[in-house]
Amino acid sequence: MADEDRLLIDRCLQGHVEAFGELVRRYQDRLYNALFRFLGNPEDARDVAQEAFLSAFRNLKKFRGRSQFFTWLYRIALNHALDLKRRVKTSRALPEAEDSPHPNELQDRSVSATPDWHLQRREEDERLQQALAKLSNEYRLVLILRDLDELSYEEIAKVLDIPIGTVRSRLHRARMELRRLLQEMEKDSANSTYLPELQR
Amino acid sequence: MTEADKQLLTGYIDGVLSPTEKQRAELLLRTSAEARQLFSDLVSDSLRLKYLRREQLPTDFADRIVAMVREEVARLAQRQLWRLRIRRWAPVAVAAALLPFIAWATFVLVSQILTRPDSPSVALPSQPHPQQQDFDEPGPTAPDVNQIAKHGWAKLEQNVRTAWQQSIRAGESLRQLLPRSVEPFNELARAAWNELEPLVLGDWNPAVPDIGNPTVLTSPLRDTDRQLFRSLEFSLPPIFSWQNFGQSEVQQLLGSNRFLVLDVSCRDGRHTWERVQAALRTQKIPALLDSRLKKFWDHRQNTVYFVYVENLSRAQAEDWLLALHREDTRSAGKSSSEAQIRSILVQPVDAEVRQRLAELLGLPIGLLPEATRSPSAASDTALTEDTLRKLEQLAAGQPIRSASAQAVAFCPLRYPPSKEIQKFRQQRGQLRADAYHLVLIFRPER
Repeated sequence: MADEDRLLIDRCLQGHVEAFGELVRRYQDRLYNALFRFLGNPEDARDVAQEAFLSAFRNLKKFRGRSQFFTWLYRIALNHALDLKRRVKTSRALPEAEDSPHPNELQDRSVSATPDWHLQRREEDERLQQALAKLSNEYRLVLILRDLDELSYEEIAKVLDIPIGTVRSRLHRARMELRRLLQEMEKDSANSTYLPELQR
Repeated sequence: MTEADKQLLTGYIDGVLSPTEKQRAELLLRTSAEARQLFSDLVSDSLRLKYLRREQLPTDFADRIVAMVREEVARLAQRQLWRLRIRRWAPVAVAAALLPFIAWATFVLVSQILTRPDSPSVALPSQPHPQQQDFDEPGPTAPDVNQIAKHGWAKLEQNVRTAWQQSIRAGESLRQLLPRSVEPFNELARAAWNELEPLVLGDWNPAVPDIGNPTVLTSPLRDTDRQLFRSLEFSLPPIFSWQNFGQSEVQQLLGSNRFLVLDVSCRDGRHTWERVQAALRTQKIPALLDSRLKKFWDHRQNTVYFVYVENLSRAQAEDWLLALHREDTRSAGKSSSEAQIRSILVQPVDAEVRQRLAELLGLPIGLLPEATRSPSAASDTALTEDTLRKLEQLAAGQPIRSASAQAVAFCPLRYPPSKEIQKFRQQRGQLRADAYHLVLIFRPER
């Protein structure tokens, strides 16, 4: 575990609540993004991130430091996210986000950030998010942890509480499934684009 | 392509293959166009996921979490205190509830004793009256009422005495039991206070004033003439008496290091700051005063505080220290013994000092100056260069002011960073390796 995290946790346990604020600032966006991609809804992701941080504070005494603080936090957050999914029972994908730009969207001010580039990127993001939403929870989680958060196989195994071999096989199946979905979507999109031309 | 081959490719993307597997994957990629296509698609998917647009939470998200946590801690502490109060008074309430019961039980007991017809104490085998025996017919003897009453009263008295003694004994054991039963709750109260203390008193870090070696600073030696120190054989950190402070002392002080931690013993914190500020003004060095420190002063708390001045040229540092001496002694009038500052002690700049300073300013330690020795010969050159620069600026009609030198005064409170400290962090220029940086720790008299 990072020394800075340990110091902050120690200070929290001594009663300095602001030190916990530092921990939140450190991991809030990373956690939120993973949750957003997993749940597919910004409000749910924000609520779950909030719940996860509060639960982490309540259970900070139980944190032994065997794993990284973020891995531990991630585990708590995923439990909350899965609880929410179980409660809602319906997977809400992203449609709302498609229509209106997200208020917190990062603005790219680089030279390449032309409107076309933005549009193209948004479309790709949305297609990918839709494909992610179609995956099962197991596959989606393992892909988010590996590719979005760049966790190692060992860390993923700790977060999901599964053996490393299972991580490897699950990741393979998830990648193949995502590929299949994306291919289907690309095919559909190509059909819908060229259909009017063919009709003409 | 088999499923095993495909799995080999996903493992190859993540770099988790053994050397043999890696060779097999590379061979597959060389020989199969289908494998190459799949590999390319998988890498592309992985990269698309990696560079998926990142969302951000509102900037006050962390503050809201902290506020919620604070509320929760306060609520828990409140609940704990109430529970504690209830438990503390519970034995008293139980005792109070028991008292009427005991009284009622005593009453029932006494009334039973008095009213029981076949009670042995009432139906005593009385002796027949001699006269009655002579004149009356033999028959059942009538009980002697006086004797019965007397006996009853004696019995009652005895019972009451026994009950009284028992209640005294019960009270005694209750008295012994109470402190023992209350002790755990006192511990709970202490624990609750430990939780509440930072909320009530703020996030005061008492370790901060211990920067360096505070025992030296409060020693009676501070008013002693520095000549005495020169005659001492053992090594002490350099200390300068304010009375004899002048050009040669400044040269000596700045000659040791470019980054200096000066421990300043002074009378009143606020008045000293006014003079420090006046001296900074003469050098056109912008200075920020932490509003929390001002609050301390408004509440007449003479706290220890820090003044951090960075990116000073040698000439600026010299001029400022001399200006500070001039301001202080001039404000004090003719008697220089009335000056606010008493002495300056040079602290060693070690890792701990830098760490504390970084914590207080909320800066990464790498953005703070390091202790580097002043070049002995370069001082004159630096002075000349600085003077030349000033002359050039004057000739060009420009105001003489430092490009990046600035100062901030703050108290040793880490959280939350005051707006002045945040402003200082935003405004500070790039740290110059050839510049002088001073941390002054002002320790007012208590």
